[in-house]
Parts: sequence; structure tokens; C-alpha cells
Amino acid sequence: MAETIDFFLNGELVSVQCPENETLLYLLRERVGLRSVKEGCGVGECGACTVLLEGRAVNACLLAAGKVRGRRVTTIEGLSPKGRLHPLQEGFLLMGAVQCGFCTPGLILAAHSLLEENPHPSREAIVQGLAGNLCRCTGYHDIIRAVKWAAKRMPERE
Amino acid sequence: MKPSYLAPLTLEEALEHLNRRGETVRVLAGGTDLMVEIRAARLKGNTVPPALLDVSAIPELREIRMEAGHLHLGAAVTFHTLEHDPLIKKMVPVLSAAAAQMGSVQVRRLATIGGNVGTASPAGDGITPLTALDAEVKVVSRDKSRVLPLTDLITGPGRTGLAANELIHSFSLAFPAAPERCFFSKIMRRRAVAIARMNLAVQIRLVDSGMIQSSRIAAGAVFPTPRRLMEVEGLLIGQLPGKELFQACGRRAVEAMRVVSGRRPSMAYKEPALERLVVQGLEQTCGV
Ligand SMILES: Cc1cc2nc3c(=O)[nH]c(=O)nc-3n(C[C@H](O)[C@H](O)[C@H](O)COP(=O)(O)OP(=O)(O)OC[C@H]3O[C@@H](n4cnc5c(N)ncnc54)[C@H](O)[C@@H]3O)c2cc1C
Ligand code: FES
Ligand code: FES
Repeated sequence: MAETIDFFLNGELVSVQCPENETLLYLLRERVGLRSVKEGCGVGECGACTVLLEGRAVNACLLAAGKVRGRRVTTIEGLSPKGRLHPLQEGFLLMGAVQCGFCTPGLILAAHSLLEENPHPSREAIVQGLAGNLCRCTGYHDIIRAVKWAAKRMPERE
Repeated sequence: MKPSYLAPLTLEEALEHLNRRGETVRVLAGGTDLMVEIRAARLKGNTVPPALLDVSAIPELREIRMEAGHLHLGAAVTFHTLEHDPLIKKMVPVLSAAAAQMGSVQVRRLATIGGNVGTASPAGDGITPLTALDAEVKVVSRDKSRVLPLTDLITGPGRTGLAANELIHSFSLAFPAAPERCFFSKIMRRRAVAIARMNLAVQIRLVDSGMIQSSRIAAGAVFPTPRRLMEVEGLLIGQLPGKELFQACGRRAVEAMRVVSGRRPSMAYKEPALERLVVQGLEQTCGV
């Protein structure tokens, strides 16, 4: 018998059956079926599994599922609730920052967390803020441009 | 069925659980080491801890405060907090500097200082600055608490003297009376998100004449258990910073490593690395 974990997933209260000593990554992929949360390394090194916990980026593969009880978790789906792309998503598309796309959900969520803490990050701050996210395709240049592009447009949404 | 995950909100409750089930319950803080360990065990088909005791939300373990010339740091304070907290940045900048270079933003948000000590990696990036600062650690169980030097709690690579019913409660460090200069650096495989092969924490006070008045230096993965590099500190006191002095310090550090750790195959790599790290650390700290 698995424990039930109640938490807010992308703004909605959900109730998920999952052992609490499993990872949040397992909970989201295997129990909720959210495949946008990627499993790269499984050990905290690639950032593909990045989600937001109370608005801040964490590695879902390192987080015990029990830790999300009663808390807010956001995945990439949560950034465009009404199907309207978030500036970060637009920026990534426009700047050609998406190739195979495996790293993209994690990178966009890490960037989102960064912009919440630092709305106008320098290039160095962007590099630092995204250092936990690996991309094997793009070489990061376009990703940094995409984040800068989005940073300029974030306030428009408010 | 016994629950696989417990998240008590008070210290008393946590210690009660540990006292009853210490042999089967594993303490969980950020999980950045433990969840990786559990994953590896699952993949190999080995047994995993039947229950996790999550102490990361216990308010008492998250406290940061000054008391009587000491900084009190709860075991569940995260590296993200160590990196950004204004009090820590001001009072013990070497700890903030170390925290800023640890893991990735995502990892720093979860990882705690108590977990770093619990793992007792020879190059733990929290352990080395705490060693330089002569941190004491408070360890508690249901029936007693004890305070000991951090360097006594860590008994070897990956080993601590914690009993099954004990919890790391907090650290206490004396902070400098006057501003000091500091440096933290490490040698690792990749720029971010790698565990250090060696690290160095330096804190130095220069008086107005430019002379070195005091110094605290510790290096990780150099000795079998963490300890200050007193041999090097001794060379510096009362001297003026300079390249020759620092080169002598680099050689002295290597000598100390040979004497304390004995000769091992890894030394061929470690000796030049330590020498360079010490010279670079001292030059940058003193602006030479
Ligand atoms: C991608 C990645 C990068 C990393 N980079 C670095 C790095 O640059 N430098 C570095 O030093 N480390 C690094 N680490 C290792 C790890 O993040 C640190 O050791 C961290 O401080 C562990 O803290 P935690 O709270 O996550 O510990 P946990 O994983 O929760 O626990 C670690 C161990 O300590 C015990 N423990 C935890 N809290 C207590 C307590 N209060 N009392 C008693 N026992 C306790 C646990 O039982 C367990 O054995 C990295 C890890 C990952 C996954
Ligand atoms: S899958 Fe979590 S960091 Fe790689
Ligand atoms: S786009 Fe392929 S890994 Fe980043």
C-alpha cells in the first residue's frame, strides 16, 4: 500500500499515491505521468528534472516525495496555464535555444527561478544560475540570449 | 504498516523517533547525498532504509544567531542560506565563499551544513571552512547532549562518531573581532556541480603595517580527518606577505601532508595540487 501525498501541482490540489521515500521525479513521471520532467542523470548533476518548489528551482531527482506534502510544485506546464507561452518559452523558441529539447523544461524552470530572485541578471549571473543544467546540443549561447530576451519582457505580463 | 517517511516539526519528537528506531531510521536533511545513495542501492537491488526521518523543517535546526561572540548555526541551514545570509557573509565570509562554490543553485537550496558533516566527505565544502574556524558541534539525543570540536566528530573519510540515536544539532564558531581577509577555492573535475578533489579555506588578519597578525588555514582531502594546517599558519605569523614566503608555505603544506598522511599513490597528483592551491590562496587573500 502506498502513502497518499497531497500537494499543489501547477496550482491544483492533487492527491497522489506514492511511497514518500521515493523521489519527486518518480512521483511526477511514474505516478502522475508528467513526462515533461526529464530523467537525465538521476543524481543531481544535469538539471533535466528541475521543477519549482514554492517557486524555486530544485532537482526533482534529489527530493524525497514526502517533502512536497502541502507545498506548491510547478512543472513547465504550470508556466503557460491558459496555453499562452511564457516569455521564457517564447524567448527559447525565438533565439533557437531548443534543439533536441531534452534539457529545455529544466532550463526554463531554472531560468524562471533565477528571474524571480534577480529580475535583471548579468550574463555572469545567468551562467551561475544555470550552471546546474546541462545542454548537450546548443552550447548555451542562445540559451543565455533567450533568458536576457525574456528578462526584458517579464514585467509586461504582470 | 510503519511509515517510510517521518517529518516531525519538533526536535523532541525527532529525538524520540531516533531513540526508538535509530537502527532502522535514516536521518534525512536535504537528501542530496542520501537520495543518491538510496537510488544506487535500489539499482543494485540492495536494501534501502526502511524509514527516513526528515529533520529539515525543524525550526530549532534552522536557526542562525549570534551569541556571546559566537555564531550559532543550525544543522539544517542550507548552503543557499550560507551563501546569501547577510550575517554570515559579514561575520564568516569564508563560509559564504565556500557555499557559493558548492554544487548548483538547485543543490544549494536543498543541501545542508549538517548533511555535509553527516556525509563526512574528505573534501566536504562545508567541513573545510568550519575546520579553519575551529567550529564546535553540538550533538543531541533524547537523553543527553554533548559539544565537541568538529574535527573530533569526523573519524575518517565518510565516517563520524555519531551514535544511531544522535542528531547533529548545530555548530558554533568564534567569529573574528576585526575584519579579516578570506579565500576559498577547490580543485575539481568540472566547473560546476562536481565534488571537490581538494579544497582550501584561508582567513587572515593583516594589521595596518601590512604584517600578518593571525591566520587560519584548512585544506580538505589532504589529511585522513580534517585539521588546520598549523604548520603553515606558524610560518605566516608576524611576517609580511610575499611570494617567497608563500612558496615556502606551499612546500610546508606538502611536507605536513606527507608526515600526517604517509605516502600513497594519490600523492603524485596531490602534492603539486596542494602546493599550488596554498600559494594561490595566500596570494589572493593578501593581494600579492
Ligand atoms: C550534484 C551534486 C553536487 C554536489 N556538490 C557538492 C560540492 O560541491 N561540495 C560538497 O561538499 N558536496 C557536494 N555535494 C554533496 C552534498 O550535496 C553535500 O554533502 C550536502 O551538504 C549534503 O547535505 P544534505 O542536507 O543534502 O544531506 P542528506 O543527503 O540529507 O544527508 C547526508 C548524510 O548526513 C546525515 N545527516 C543529515 N543531517 C543530519 C543531522 N542533522 N544529524 C545527523 N545526521 C545527519 C544523513 O543521515 C546522511 O547520512 C553534491 C551533491 C550533488 C548531488
Ligand atoms: S535527473 Fe535530476 S539532475 Fe539529472
Ligand atoms: S537542446 Fe538538446 S540537450 Fe539541450
